Amino acid sequence: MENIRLQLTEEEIRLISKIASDRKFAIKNVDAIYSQDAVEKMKIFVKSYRFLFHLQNNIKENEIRDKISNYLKNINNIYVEAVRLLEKLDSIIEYGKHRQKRKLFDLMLKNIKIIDDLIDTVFPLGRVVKLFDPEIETSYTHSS
Amino acid sequence: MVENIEKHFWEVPVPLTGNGFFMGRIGSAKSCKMLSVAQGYHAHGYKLIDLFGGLRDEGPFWCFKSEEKRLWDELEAEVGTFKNPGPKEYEVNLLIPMFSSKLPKQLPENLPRIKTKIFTIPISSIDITDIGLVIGDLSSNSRYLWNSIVKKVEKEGNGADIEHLMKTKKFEGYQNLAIYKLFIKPLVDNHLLSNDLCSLNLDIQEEIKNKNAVSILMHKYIPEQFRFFIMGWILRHSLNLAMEDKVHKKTIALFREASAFMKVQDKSSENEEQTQIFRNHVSNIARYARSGLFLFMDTQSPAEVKGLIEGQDDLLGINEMPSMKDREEVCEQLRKDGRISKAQIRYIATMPIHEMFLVTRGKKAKLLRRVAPPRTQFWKSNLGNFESYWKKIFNQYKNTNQEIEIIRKEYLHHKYLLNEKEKAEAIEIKAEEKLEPAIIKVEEEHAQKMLEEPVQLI
Repeated sequence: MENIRLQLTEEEIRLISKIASDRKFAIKNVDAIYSQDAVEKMKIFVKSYRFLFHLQNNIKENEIRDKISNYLKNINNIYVEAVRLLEKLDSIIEYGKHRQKRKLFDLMLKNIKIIDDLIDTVFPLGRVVKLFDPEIETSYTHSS
Repeated sequence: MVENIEKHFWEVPVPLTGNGFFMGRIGSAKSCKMLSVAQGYHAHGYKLIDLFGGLRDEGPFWCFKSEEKRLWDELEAEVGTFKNPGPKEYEVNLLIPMFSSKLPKQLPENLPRIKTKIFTIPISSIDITDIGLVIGDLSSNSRYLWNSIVKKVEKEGNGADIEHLMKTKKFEGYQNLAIYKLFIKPLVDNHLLSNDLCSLNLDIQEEIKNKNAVSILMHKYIPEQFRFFIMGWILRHSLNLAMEDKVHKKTIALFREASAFMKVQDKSSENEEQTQIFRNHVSNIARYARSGLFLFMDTQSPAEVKGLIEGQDDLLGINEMPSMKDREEVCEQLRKDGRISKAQIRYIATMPIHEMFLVTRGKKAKLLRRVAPPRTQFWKSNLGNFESYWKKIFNQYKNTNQEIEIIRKEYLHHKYLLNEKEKAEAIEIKAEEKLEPAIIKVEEEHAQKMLEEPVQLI
């Protein structure tokens, strides 16, 4: 289980990245990747999984598509378990939440390599860093 | 949290549909922010004409690229690496009207980027409203005089023709009028008035079409009483050209310290009539902004320009404003409409120099956290005036002899032609005088013959 990895060549990454940026797939809450909080980290894991899941339908090259779908199949059980636990944590009933949290934490610790690997793979995909261009931009504001 | 992610880079809103006003106390960087915003529009293909640089004449500073390393570094620290470098060298056209007595021997020029254009004005393009900007309201005699001058001189005549015309018997009596003493005489003496074919004429149409270059009117070499006239003439023609669809509809005219002519309160009685005419002129243009000429102005107190800005502002930049009266003046209506909050109004009183509230059309006030410094150098007290800074940075000049010589020769040529014409006329008259008795004699003889002939009865 621990040896499951999505190994993409540079070309493949470039291709996927292009598709991702074209179709505006993005994970906005990327700051939480560095968070050690189990809940936050698992949320990112779920988002990353979904990201790849939706992305694979837009890839025309069979090889890469198979590669991704096989990889997703292998980690499917972790995803399902994580979604199940996160759903419970979203519930309005407070009773028993600490137990679910512990289970989530255990799941994370058990599969930490796979989770980190997935997040690290997805992080640079489709991400375009927008630089400040004094040619057209004259200022910045805060988002609120 | 990483702070970068929360920041939103701000672009100027396009298309522009109204005028821009920037307000704030002395030293609140309102002129700089106006420049930054104007440069944002320049990047979107708007033509900039810097018409009034305040009494300090800050306009020509467009020639230099920004040397404010500290300000750019501060911005870079906040927004991350730049895609393009901040300071930029713009293409600049320095417009200087031909006042030959005031022109120095050398004028700053650094080709191919910085061009100096000494220009003359064709007589036919001057309207009576333009003359009002020099001498105030025109009497009916003055109107008659100017109209008949334009009619008589036609398209080929220049100042020399006017001078000649004024010495004729018909117009001699008009030499006492203010229009002659204050307007025609000084302009003819300074060789500003030319004919339609003169190569030195300012082609405003071409000037506006050249969007890449920033046109700057230099006030230093214009006598003070003619400043409104030159500005008004350029403004009127720019608007007319845009209205007649001869040029694009993306022109912005910049005015610093608009209170110099927009003041409603504490106005001085000196030049009051002329200022009033210019104020009307500008507010008319502000009303027709969408025709293709937009005005960007900055002023210290909104009370000074009360009445002009209400409802006509597309961009309203509010800078630090400690005076409560001023704040109320500019924000009260916005607050009632729910476009600015009380806390924001309070914040304006002690706002840092790099921030600005921007109210755009139909939107709530937005706080710009750090407006980028202008990409060109702006006036600072330690830089000195334009001339000394030019000497320090470029120290390249062009001789003005050539231009003055061209117009002087044209004047002399016209004078020569007029003299020749006069001589020829005089000879004709003399010849007629000589011929007259002979003609009379012939006619008398003919009449005698007719009488002597016997009448034939049928």
